[in-house]
Amino acid sequence: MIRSLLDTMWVAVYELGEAVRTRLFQLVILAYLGGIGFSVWLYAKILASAEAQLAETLGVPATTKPGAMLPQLLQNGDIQQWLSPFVGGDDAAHALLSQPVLGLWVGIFSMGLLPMVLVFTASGTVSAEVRSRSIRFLLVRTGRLEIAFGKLFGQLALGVTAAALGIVLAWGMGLFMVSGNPPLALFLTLCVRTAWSVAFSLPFLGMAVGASLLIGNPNGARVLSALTFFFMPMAAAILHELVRRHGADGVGRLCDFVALAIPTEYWADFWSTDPGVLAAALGRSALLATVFFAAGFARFQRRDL
Amino acid sequence: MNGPASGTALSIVGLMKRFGRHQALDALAFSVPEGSICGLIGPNGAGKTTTMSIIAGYLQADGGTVDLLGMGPFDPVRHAGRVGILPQDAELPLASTPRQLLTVWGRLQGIPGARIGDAVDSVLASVLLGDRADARISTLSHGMRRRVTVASALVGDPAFVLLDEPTSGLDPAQARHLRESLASLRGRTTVLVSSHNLAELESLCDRVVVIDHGRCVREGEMAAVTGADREVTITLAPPFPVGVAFVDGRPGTVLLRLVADDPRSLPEATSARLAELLAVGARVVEVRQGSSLEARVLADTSGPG
Repeated sequence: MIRSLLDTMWVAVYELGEAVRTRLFQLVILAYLGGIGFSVWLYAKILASAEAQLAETLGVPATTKPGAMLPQLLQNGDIQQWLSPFVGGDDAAHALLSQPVLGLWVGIFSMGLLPMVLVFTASGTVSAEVRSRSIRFLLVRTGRLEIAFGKLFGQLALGVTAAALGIVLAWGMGLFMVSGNPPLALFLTLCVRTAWSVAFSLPFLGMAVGASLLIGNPNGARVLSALTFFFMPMAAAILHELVRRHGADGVGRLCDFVALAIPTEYWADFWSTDPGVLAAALGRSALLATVFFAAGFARFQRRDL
Repeated sequence: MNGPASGTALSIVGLMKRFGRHQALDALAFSVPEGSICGLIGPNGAGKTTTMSIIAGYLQADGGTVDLLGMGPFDPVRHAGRVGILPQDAELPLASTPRQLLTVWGRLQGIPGARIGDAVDSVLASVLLGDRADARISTLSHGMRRRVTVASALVGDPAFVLLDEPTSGLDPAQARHLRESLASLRGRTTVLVSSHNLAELESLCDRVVVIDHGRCVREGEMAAVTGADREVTITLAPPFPVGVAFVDGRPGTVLLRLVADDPRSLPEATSARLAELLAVGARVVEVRQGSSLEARVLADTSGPG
């Protein structure tokens, strides 16, 4: 058992080292940080525009740095209106607004970006080594389960590192570009929202690594992951429509069941303030990640390499 | 390193493998004694690489048994650190250095942290790569990369080493150095080596297994297979003396073959035959013990499969 855990750790370390050496790591970090930086900039722009409009309405001078009129915007419901489509409705938005809005805003972007980044990087992790046969150097030294888990954790570490750096960037930019954010509260909100982004991303990571275990061609694995990722919301919409039409009959129940396997269906749960809902969302995420990973591993375990 | 009590390092019985409609291995059976250097020979498509891949656990056999070091078929946990392999066509990760790769692979095969540095330095020195240990693989020549893969098979002093075309891509001096390195393993490490360079195998191996169309067609000590223990070929220059019997189709070639109950040793019989030939005026240009391995293999096999 200890040997197995150590092997998994070494494969993960190797995976992370390879990502750094091939500059994939730097690319991932840059892509993610670029997205997070853009979200803070966009927030500042939207807030400045809303505050300018409010100042004009009230006949007061516009602020030089956005954020000074945030309490008024919160009071008149504008901010709640922005947030509600992203967090599962007005009630959820209302409940969340005791936290710094910038933290919530960055959290929305992080939940969208991180799964995309992980799908992009993790879907080639095993299949590229199968294609070049460099996986044979590992196969003679450790088990297939340790290799697969090592790759999974290596990719997860890559995502977590990017997410952690994203917190620092968003915090620094937020304090610099937007006024009225208590530094500690903003930092904590960013940490919590980023942690939930990582949790939300787990099924996408499991899906990408699973595809990489399933398909020997890295491009094929990437295409499968990307198609699944981008068509997931569409599939969810089709399933909801079918459920609406068929109600509780066999087709409706089947569609309801299939929808359980679509990770985007749990987006709103991660914005709940109810610890029970959050725990259930985390559990479902971990379960889905395990199912996707196991589906790929079942084939990887038996296949000729 | 430890081997099995029986003295047999590898035993293969009835091994079967099919790729689609092609029967790659057809009840293949042979064994390799502990501490020997055994050549695995056959034409292209005979099943050499498939056999190596099944022994190393890359491919799953359709039938038959493999007993490696008396511990059953290859298992990365059971055989941890005891088996080294040079896969024929596996590509090395280009962004890493030889030291980085060998260190993580050594860790995975259970070399203790305190010994890993010395083990890596020693094996890199043995393949003449000590001065390129920290160069990226992408900057190394084809021959140097080949030597890194050889080092990967030998790191940690495994009990059983599988080498698929080890000198492919090496210049004559490097190939000779590698042969000398491998020869120095005789008696303490079992080596199964596949190569198309039969002269190389003849000088290196003390045992040989010839396979064709997935079956073993000859197996035994090198001297017995080449006839070096019972045959001498004498080549004469023209004009040939009258009354000397030559090998069919090869004028000038005299074959001396000891029969089982001949009381003379091979040197005695050879001296006597040479005396007879010189007495009738023959001009001897070459005396060769046994047939070449190449001639034996060509006689045993049916060419490319």
